[in-house]
Amino acid sequence: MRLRSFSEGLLLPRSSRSEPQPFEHVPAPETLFLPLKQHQGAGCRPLLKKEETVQRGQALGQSSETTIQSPVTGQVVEVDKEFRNLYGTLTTSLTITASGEMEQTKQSPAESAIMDRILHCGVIDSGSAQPLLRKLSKSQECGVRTLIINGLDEFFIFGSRAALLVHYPEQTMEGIQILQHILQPEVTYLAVYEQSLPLLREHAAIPDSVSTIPLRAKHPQHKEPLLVSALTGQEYPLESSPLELGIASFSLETASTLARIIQQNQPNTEKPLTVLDPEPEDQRNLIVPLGTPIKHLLQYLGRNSESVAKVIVGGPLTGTALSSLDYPVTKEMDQIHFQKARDQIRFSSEVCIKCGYCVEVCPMRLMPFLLSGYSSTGLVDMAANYDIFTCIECGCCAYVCPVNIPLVQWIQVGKSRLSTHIRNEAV
Amino acid sequence: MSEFKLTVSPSPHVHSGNSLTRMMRDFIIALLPATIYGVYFFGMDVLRCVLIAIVSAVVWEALSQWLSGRKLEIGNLNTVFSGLLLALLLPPSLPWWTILIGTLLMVLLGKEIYGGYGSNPFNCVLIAWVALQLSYPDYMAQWILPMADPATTSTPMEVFASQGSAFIGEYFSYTDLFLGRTAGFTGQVSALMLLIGGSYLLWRKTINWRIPISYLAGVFFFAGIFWLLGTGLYADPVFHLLAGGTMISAFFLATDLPSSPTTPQGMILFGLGAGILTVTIRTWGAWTFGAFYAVLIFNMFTPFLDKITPEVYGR
Ligand code: SF4
Ligand code: SF4
Repeated sequence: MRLRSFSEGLLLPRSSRSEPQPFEHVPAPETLFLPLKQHQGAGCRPLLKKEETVQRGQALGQSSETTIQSPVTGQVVEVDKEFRNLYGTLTTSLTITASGEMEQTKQSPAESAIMDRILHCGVIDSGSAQPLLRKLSKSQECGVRTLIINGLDEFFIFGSRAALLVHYPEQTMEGIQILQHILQPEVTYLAVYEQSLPLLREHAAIPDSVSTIPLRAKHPQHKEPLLVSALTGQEYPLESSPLELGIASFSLETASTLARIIQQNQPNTEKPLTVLDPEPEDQRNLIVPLGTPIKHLLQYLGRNSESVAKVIVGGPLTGTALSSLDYPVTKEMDQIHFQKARDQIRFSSEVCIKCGYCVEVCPMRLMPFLLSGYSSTGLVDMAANYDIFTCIECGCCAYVCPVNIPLVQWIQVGKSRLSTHIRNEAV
Repeated sequence: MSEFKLTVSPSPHVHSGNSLTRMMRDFIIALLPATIYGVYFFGMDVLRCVLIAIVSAVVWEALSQWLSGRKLEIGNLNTVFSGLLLALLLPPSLPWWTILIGTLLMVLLGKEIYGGYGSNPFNCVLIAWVALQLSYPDYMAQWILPMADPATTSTPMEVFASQGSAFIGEYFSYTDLFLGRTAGFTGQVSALMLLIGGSYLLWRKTINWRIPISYLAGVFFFAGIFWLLGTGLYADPVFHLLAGGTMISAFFLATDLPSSPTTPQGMILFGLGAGILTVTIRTWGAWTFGAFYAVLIFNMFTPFLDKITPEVYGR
């Protein structure tokens, strides 16, 4: 069978393993930090004050779309109103010390409306970081014919999503069935890398209503536009959404979380993560309580924090570099990479040599060197003519550029200049 | 807050490791078989030519960058490669001062006045070659053929131009052309050595296959059509592929990064167009160096060819 894929992009590094690592459960630290905005959209309102006690699973903050629950029983020791999150926006963050008890708030019975449970547990669709409630109600409004479950990890063939499939197959399949129940699609695709297919056959009982589609292990196959086109052969302009074609995609982790909160009646307070351990340069799959500072993760791995020069949240091609090891694990994170000083790359200010490598590799079939060139010289209108907003910032272009031009950074600059332009003109 | 300093930088955080220096090293390695063969066949004159060209090109570039107060960029081997390539296009017996003029023009007119390698619209090596060709036509046509009678010290293309295709076979066999036993500049004599170098570049993915392959296809099929139409009048396509610098044009001149198109479609059209023009100039033009003029002329089309962009996702 010819594997479905797309013609540009980068092949993923080969995995030295033949199956994903099983998950390790990281114990909760004494002090946890819980920002009240771990998703796209408005942050949550704090529900607790300083010094109040809190039970595991109790809501710390809530908005109309989502909730942040406490991962531990303990006490609120600080309410920080000026916490700067991953994207530089200010939000409130609660600091909690764990008392060591495991007392848990009473969960509403599992039979209560599914949508209520999703709101009260604050499920977000990992990958897009959208509150699941919003995404589901929009999908219900538009009507979903094709449901896509995204089981592809960025950059790793066997990351946390593959691990969920292989090591928690029942939970994952139950979650997919819950999504099917809510959305009533005509077809459901489960997208996995080809390397996972034999493992799935061995470990998981995939229901008949789900067709598993193996895809070539390429970057950025996991991004929604390329997933949709690989599975359905359809493309959509990025300013609209695949929902207009009757297609909705959800992360596999979201399905597994749904099963955990609905079938197993658990709060949504832990996060499956793929971590690139710096020392043996090895990948590990962890389940980490939300709010755990990165420093604690390093301790858990038994690594010296001084050897770490850069912490990347998200994949190595698209992720964000953190400024502090005190930053906590949040719902938006799928991966954490610890990088040593000698592995860091350096961008240059040299001129483009028009080699065309970036054009060849761009999965959105753009002209990266023109977008970056126009953005850096201020000709943003030209960049707009070349569809700068179709760039998904996958990083392929900058990865291959022989003169190390920071293409993605310039494209981001161009996009933000254009957005201000557009906003100013609207006023 | 943490006392450890973390680096904050934009994505991506990993890189392929490819660099201009690596690519230029590949180009130089790819030219070595042809260069070594040239030294073996024509003697030390070739080595002399190569050394003068490389050293002088690097000196000119360093001087120009120093005078204009820019960062010294000779370390990226780009000029070493250009110097070597130019040397292979010259008659081995060219006087030393002509070579110096050639490299000066190559560095200054070819790239420095545009702001350095990358911004030059034309292939700098060809700029220098054309300048020498126009200024010193006599020196540029002094061919030698060791171990042979004087009758054949014309390049195969000159034979074709002056006597017609029927005589080609009397002077050269295809084995001679393929292995490089004819008169000419080092970069044209052995199609085999250049093919080895070109394959190395393709294997290393330093050059995109689209330009050389479509260029060779353009030459082969366009020459083939006319050869089929009038046998005897036109040279056959294999001759066109093997002689007159077709190979060095395909793998080393047409693939020059700044002056060739960047899009897949543009590359194919560029290659085909330059290939067809090569045969056209050779067959109906006054010059035997169709391969070089064609590439240089197609450099002018590059900005237009770059307008043929791939169809954007979802549009
Ligand atoms: S231009 Fe954008 S979409 Fe294209 S390769 Fe670069 S980052 Fe990816
Ligand atoms: S890869 Fe870099 S040097 Fe090559 S065309 Fe793109 S931006 Fe220019």
